[in-house]
Amino acid sequence: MAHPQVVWSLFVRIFHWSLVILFVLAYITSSSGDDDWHMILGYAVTVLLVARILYGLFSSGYGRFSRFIYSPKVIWSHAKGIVQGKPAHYEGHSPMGAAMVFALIGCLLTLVFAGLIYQSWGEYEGPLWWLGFMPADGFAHEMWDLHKWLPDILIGLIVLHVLGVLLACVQHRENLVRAMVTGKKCSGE
Amino acid sequence: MIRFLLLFTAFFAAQTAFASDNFLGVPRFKGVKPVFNSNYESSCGECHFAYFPGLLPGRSWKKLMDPKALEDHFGENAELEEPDRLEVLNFLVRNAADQSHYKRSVKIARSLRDGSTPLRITEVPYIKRKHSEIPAKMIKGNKKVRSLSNCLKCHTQAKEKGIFDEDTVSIPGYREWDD
Repeated sequence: MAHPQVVWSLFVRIFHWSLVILFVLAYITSSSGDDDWHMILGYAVTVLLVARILYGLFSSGYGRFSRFIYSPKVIWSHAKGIVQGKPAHYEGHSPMGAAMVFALIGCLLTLVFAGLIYQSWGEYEGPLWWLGFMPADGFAHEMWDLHKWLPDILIGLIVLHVLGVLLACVQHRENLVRAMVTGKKCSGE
Repeated sequence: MIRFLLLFTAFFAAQTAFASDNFLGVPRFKGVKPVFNSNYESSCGECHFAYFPGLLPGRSWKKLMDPKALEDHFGENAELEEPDRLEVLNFLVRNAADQSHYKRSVKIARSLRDGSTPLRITEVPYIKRKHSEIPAKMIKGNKKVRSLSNCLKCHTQAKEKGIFDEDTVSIPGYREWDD
């Protein structure tokens, strides 16, 4: 096995674990009555997502989006390999892992967008309200509903993500959870 | 990881210290100011919950408390002796939503920035919107509630504390409902 090398930059690791913490706290405060905290946590998630997108567009390294955009064909054959027990190894995001990254980021972006729309319409506060943007009733209601059910989809995706990571840990005999803490992965098996 | 947890604990602790004051200059008193006036309680509270002044802007209270308007107060004669009327009016206007630094009142006032003068609290856009997703059967069609105007039927901490938060709501007959 080759020497461990840093695959996940400090930014990627901080992004990942802060997102975990912020999402959990936002989920808890959504039903505990801490509305003000829920909004602050939502802003924090928004800032994280924007930072991650900028990083994905302009950084180099494994965190750059263009390094883990795979064609559906590659994703499919990677999935087949996993099922057959002989998955191809990737240093950065694997095709299935990458698909999950984009699914999670996409859902989270939609979620914070819906939250900001509802906040302006129903709470008369927040950045959109301050900017004078008042959404139409119908659209606001749709976003309000979306903001209520999308978190459950996200939790489903998170469960799949964790299961996928655990499976990859077993199949490749590498500790991917530790890799997201230390940044180091043993590549070149 | 531990560093983050510590950071967030500190963040939360700091927030609690400011919770009753304001946050970044935004008024952060919870709910609606729970103010009481014995004359208001006896004059108006005889027939209905003496709605907190912070639930309507001053211009609405002025219109409602006009002597002519009180003669036909939603179909009832609610005339008051002039000194009582003036005292109650003064109390209502002084504590009205547009004078308040309480969160719900601030939002009520914000939702009425178009200058409209609702005579019913249930016509305030903010209040309408906040209740818009509750099925009709839980309010209008609910024998124990009847109308959105019966705040206290569901808002269990409204009367004493002026708190209207979702987690203090309990809809009679739908206790389990949570959305």
